[in-house]
Amino acid sequence: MSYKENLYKSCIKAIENIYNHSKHNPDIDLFRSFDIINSLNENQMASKEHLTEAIVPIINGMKKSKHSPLHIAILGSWYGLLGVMLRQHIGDEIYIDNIDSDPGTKPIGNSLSTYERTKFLIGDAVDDTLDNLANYQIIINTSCEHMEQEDVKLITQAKDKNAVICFQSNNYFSVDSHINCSNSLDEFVKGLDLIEVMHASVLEVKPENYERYTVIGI
Amino acid sequence: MLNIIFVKHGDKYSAEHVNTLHKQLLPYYPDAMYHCYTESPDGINIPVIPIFKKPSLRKWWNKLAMFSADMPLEGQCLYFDLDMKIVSDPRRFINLKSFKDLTILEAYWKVGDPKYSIKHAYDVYINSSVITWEAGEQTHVWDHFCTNKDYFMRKYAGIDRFLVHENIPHKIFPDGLINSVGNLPNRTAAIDMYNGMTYEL
Repeated sequence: MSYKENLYKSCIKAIENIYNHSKHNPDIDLFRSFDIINSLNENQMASKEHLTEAIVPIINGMKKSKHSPLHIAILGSWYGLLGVMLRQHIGDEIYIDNIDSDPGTKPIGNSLSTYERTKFLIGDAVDDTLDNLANYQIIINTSCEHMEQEDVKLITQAKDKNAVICFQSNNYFSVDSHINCSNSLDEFVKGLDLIEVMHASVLEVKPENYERYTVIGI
Repeated sequence: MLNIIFVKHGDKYSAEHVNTLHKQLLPYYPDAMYHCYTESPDGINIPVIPIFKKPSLRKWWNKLAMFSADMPLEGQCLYFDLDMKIVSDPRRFINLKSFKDLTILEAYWKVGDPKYSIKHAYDVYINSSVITWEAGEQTHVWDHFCTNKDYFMRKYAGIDRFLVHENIPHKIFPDGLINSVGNLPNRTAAIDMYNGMTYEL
């Protein structure tokens, strides 16, 4: 069975659990099931696959030059889709920490992703995470559009100087929670103020007709 | 001290909306302190409270910041959406009792229609176009929103739904304060409410 089939199977199971619990508990959050489905939709898949293709060669290159296992932080990880995808291409020895401010993501994430050395942590990407950021060699943030630009910059400043960042944003201004979209890839790259840009690309997202930007650098 | 507060974010409403509503309310509330919570103070004729830099929010979600402990307000607070016309004296519906609790409008045009009570649609029978509260007494609303704001903004189409489905205690104003022009209009009420419709100022 492919990892995607496994993922969808686990997702259906998680939704089944929510439905079954809701039969006995009126406080069960039914929107959570829709949110899980949404986290695995076509656009999410395409966006994370695009990022995975770009970052995997870089991770593998870093593995060769480093003696101790790499630590990856995925900020705003939601239910951990990207971590599962990366795991198909990188070694089991690498640590992946999924970090999200929504407490509901942890139990669901743990049920969708059963890999060793994969953890789900609850906390704000800046307020709760900044002090530990220097422990990661790779820092991924797939939703810069949800974060204040000031916080995006804080992350790039708090990381270890050799750590690689891999950030995504978009020009999808019409979503209420998108408070920090970029008008273009160029604008997004400039806003990150990196010493070295190793990768910068655009993914066209249809039918919503917006662009997703991926930037990797130091 | 009574504070009358407007919230303007983005370009859906102009400074003229703020100034017009201020003028319409002034005969009824001549001694109130008027404030506009906005990121764009140009052309606004009343004192401005600058929008918080963090967390950065868009559109109506900024209304929730009015309950923050950091909001520089003291005393009674009365909030109005900007798409309203004051037709007659609203004070008979907004009395001293209204400020003791978080008080909101009942969406009279929805009452009795069961489609609004479908559980997982998260719809509501209230409307937050007019709100009263005592400054500093509702900080739990903002604090709760900040615990998981991105999730709440995905889950709920607006703050009315957030308030009800996150079980924020509230009361409702007596009937007659509002006429909803876009829904069941032509009732006699103190305020005409346009619910995002285009109308002549």
